[in-house]
Amino acid sequence: MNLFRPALFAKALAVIGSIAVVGCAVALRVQGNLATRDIVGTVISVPMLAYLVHLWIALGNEEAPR
Amino acid sequence: MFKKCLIVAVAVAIASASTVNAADSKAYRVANNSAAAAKQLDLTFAGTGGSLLMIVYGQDNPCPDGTVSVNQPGGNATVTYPDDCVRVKGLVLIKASTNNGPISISSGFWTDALNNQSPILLTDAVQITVPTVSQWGLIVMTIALLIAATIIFARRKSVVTA
Repeated sequence: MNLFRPALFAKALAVIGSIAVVGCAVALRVQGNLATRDIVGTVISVPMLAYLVHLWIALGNEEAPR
Repeated sequence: MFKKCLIVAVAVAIASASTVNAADSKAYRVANNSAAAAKQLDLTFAGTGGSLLMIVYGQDNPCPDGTVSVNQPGGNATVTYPDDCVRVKGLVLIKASTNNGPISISSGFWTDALNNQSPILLTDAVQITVPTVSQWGLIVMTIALLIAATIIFARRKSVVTA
């Protein structure tokens, strides 16, 4: 079981990061400001979520041939 | 399909966490550092935006419960005691809340039995903080837990199928 696939992680990070940026833009539009804690929270959470998604996809690909 | 929906839902939840209402609540321990025992404490708060609620949840030993009156538009509140029971160095514990925020004490004064007013120093009003986990802490912990669970279940499955 491979726990890290850089190419897949980069793709997941790009997708999740894009969604987070869009979400932040919407929040900024609605609220008018974005607190520092929210920016820091997003910066920490996005790579973690991307890693989780990358794990799901990687494990799904490993299971598929069986 | 379910996995894709879950991914989008979690990402949207992360992004929308920043839209949480900015309502704020803080507890303070205000010390009577004036030269005389006091019968009244007046506090003015910043960041209330016309919304203020204040309660007293503790005071110097000889004092009965104080009477609180709040002036919402002005962002100030008064705690009144029947007599000058708040001794020198005595404490009053208050909790102030607003629908806006962030709330903070901007000024205040003690009034003694002779109606002399003595301004408080902002260092006399110490914020009481209770350690808690923010919504971001919860999100990060949830994702970390999901990662750990995913790895553990995947390893278990690969051991069983090996």
